[in-house]
Amino acid sequence: MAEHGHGEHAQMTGWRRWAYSTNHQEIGLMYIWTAFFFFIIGGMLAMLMRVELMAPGPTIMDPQAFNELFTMHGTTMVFLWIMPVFAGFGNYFVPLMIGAKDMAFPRINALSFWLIPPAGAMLFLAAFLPGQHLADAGWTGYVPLSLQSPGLGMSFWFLGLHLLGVASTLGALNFIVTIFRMRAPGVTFHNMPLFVWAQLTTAFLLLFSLPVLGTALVMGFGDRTLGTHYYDLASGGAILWQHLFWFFAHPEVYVLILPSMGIVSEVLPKFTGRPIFGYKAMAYSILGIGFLGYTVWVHHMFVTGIPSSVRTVFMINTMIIGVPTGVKIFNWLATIWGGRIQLKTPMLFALAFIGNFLIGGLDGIFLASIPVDYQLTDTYWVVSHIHYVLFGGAVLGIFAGVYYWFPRMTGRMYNEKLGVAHFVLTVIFLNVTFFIQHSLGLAGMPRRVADYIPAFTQMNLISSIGAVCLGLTQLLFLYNALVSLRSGRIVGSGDPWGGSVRPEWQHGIMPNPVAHASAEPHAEVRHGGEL
Amino acid sequence: MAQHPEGAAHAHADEEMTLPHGSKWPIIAAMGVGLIYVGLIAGWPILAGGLAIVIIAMAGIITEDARWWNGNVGTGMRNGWWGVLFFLGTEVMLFSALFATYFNHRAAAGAGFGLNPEGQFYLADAVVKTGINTVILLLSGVTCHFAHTAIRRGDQQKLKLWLVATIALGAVFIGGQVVEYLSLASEGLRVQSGTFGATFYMLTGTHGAHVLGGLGVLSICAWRAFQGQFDQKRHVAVEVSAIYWHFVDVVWVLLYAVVYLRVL
Repeated sequence: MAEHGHGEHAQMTGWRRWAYSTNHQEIGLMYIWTAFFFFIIGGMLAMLMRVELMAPGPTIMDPQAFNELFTMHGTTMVFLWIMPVFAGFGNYFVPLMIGAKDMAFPRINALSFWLIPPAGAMLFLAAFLPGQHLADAGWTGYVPLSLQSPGLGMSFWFLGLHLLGVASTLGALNFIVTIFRMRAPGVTFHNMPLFVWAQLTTAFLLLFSLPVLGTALVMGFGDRTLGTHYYDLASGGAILWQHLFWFFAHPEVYVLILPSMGIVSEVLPKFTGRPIFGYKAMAYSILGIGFLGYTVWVHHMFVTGIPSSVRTVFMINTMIIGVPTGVKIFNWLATIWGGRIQLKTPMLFALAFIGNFLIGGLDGIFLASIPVDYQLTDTYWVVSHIHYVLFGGAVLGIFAGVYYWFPRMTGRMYNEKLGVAHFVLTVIFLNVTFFIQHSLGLAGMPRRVADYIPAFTQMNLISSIGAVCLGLTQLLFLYNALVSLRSGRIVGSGDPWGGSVRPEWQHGIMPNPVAHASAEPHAEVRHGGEL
Repeated sequence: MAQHPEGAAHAHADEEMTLPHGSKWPIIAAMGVGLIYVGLIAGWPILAGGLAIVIIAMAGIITEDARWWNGNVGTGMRNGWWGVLFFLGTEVMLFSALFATYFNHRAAAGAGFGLNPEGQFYLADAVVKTGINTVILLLSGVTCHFAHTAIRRGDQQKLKLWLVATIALGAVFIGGQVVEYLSLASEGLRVQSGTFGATFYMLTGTHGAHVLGGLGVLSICAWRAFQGQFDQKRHVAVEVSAIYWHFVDVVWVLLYAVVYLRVL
C-alpha cells in the first residue's frame, strides 16, 4: 500500500509537491491561483480599453490594439478566469462534499490542470513575437473576420482555445464520474450539497458542447493554414460558424453562472441559520437551466436572416429559462426570510449576487425578444447584460466562495474590515461601470468600436471612471488575501462560521493546512479502481 | 497468482479505493501537448519535440500503470467503464458537428456536390471497394465481441486469439483507407478541393484517427492479455475497449451510408 498510497506523495516537498501532485485539494488550489493570475491580466486589458473610451477619437491606442484588447479580454475572462476558478472550487470541494477520497481519475485531473498554463501562454504568445499581433476578431471569432485576420495571433487563438477545450472536457468527465460513482454511503442525489448539483450540471454542459467548439476551431484553423473551405462564404460558412460556435457558447454561459449559484446556495443557509428553501426545486431548476441552455443558441443570431418560425421557437425557449431562474431567486429570498442574518463578507457578496444577477437576467429577457434584439444587438446593452451576468453574477459568487472557504483552504481568517470595504467598493463601481451602458446601448452606441460620436462622451467617461476604480478595488482583495495568507488569524480545527457544520469542513485528506485539523479520512470510503 | 502479487495483496484491501501516488507524467504530458499545439503553427522542430515528450510521457504512464493496473484491475467501482461511457458522449457530439457541417455544405452545393470535373461522383469507384472494407470493419466488431465474451467465460486463450484477429482486421481497414486516399488524391480530390473535399477528408480522417486510437487501446489490451492480467472478473479494459470499438464501427456504418451511398 505504501508504494501507492498517499504516504509517499505526502513526503514530496518543494515544487515537486505541487508539480507532481494528483491530490484534488492541491490541484484545486493551483487552479484557483492560476485563475486569479489571469483575472488580473484580463482586468488590466479591460481597464486599458475603458481608458481608450474615456474620450472620443484616439486617446491612448490605435483601433487595431483596441480590437486585440477586447478579443483577449473576453477570451481570458471566460476561458482562463471563470472556468478555471470554478474547476478549482469543484476540485477542492466536490470530493469533500460527497465524502470521496479524491477525484475519480486523479492523474487525468492533474493533466486537465496542467494543460491550462501552456494554452494560456499560447493565447498571448503572439504579443511577444516581433511583427505579430494578438487575436483580434472578438472572443466569438466570427467568420470571415477570424479567417482573414493576418499573422499568427489568430492561429494561436484557434489552437489555444482548442487545447483549453480538451482540458475542460477531461475535467468535466472527471467531475461526472466522481459525482456519479464516488459518493460515500448515505450521500444521495437528493441530499448532496447544491454546489455539487451545480458542478454536475456544469460538467454535462461542457461535455456535450465542447466537442462542437473543438470541431469548429479545427476547421477554422484548417481554413487559415491549409487552404480548406469549411467556412466557404458562398456555402453559408459564416452562418455555419455561428451555429457551431453558439451551440457551444450558449451552454457555456450557464457553465459560467451555475457554479456561482451553487456557491450562493451554500453561503445563504450558513449565514441565515436556515436550511436552503426548497432543496429539490433548487436542484431540479439547476438541471432545468442546464437542459434549456442547449436549446436557445439561435437567439445570438436573430439578425442573420434565420426564418422567423425558427427564431420564434428560440425566443420562447430563451424566455422559459426565466422560469427556473426565477424559482432560484425566490427560493434564495425565502431562505433569507426570517433567518438570523450575519452580514459577513461572504454573505454580503451572496446578497449582492442576487440583486446584480437579477439585473443581468432581466435585461437579458429584453434581449430575447426578437424586435428588441433587432434594435439592441451589438450595442452596449449587450455589453451591459453580459457584465451584469458575469461580473454581477459569476464574479460576485466567486468572491462569496473565496471569502467563505478562505479559512478552509488556508487555515487562516481574512481581514473582515478589508473584506467589507472590498465588497462595498466593488458593488458601487460595478454599477457605476455597467448600469450606464444600458443607456449607451439604447442610444445606439455599437460595441467593439474604439471610437464614438461626441454625444456619448459623458456616459462613457462615467463608465470608464467606474471601470478603473473597479479594477483598483480588486487590489484590496489581493492585499487582504496575500497578507491573511501569511499572518491572518489561525482558525480552529473546524468550521469557523458556526451553525450546522457542512461536509466540506469535516473531511479531507489534506487537513486544514495550518491548524492541522482532524485528518481522519472519511470513515466509509467506497472501494474503487481506476481501470 | 504469481503474476500479480499486488493483486493478491489487494484482496484484503478490497473495500478501499487505491489512489495513485503523485506522478510527474501529467505535467510532462501537458507540456508536450502544448508544444505540439504551438508546433502546428511554429513548425516541425517544435512539433517533433512535443510529440517526443508526449510519447515519453505516455510510455511513462503506461509503465507506471502496468504495475498499478495489475494490482487494481477489477477491484472496485469500474470508474473507467463510466469514464469511457461519458467520453463516448463527447465523441457523439464531435461526429454530430462534422455531419452537420457535411449536410450544410451538401445542401448548399446542391446536385454538384462531390462531382469531379467530368461530372462524375468522386466516390463512384470507391463504393464497392470501401463496401468490402466496411464488411471487414464490421467483422472486426464481431471478433471484438468474441474476445469480450471469451474473457467473460475466463477463456484467456480465445481472448488473445480474438484480440489479435480484431487488431489485424482493423489494420486491414486502415490500409484500405490509405489506398483509397491515394487513389482519390491522384484523381485530384484534395482537402482543399472545395467543400466536398474538405468535409470528406475531415469525416473519414477523423474516423480513421479513431480507428487508429482503437487499435492502440486494443494493442495495450492484447499486450496485457499475453501477460495474463485478465480473468473472468477482471477485464474492465477489454470491456471498455470493446465498447469503444463498437462505437467506431457504428459511426462508420453511418458515414458509409451518408457519404458513399448517399442514402440520407
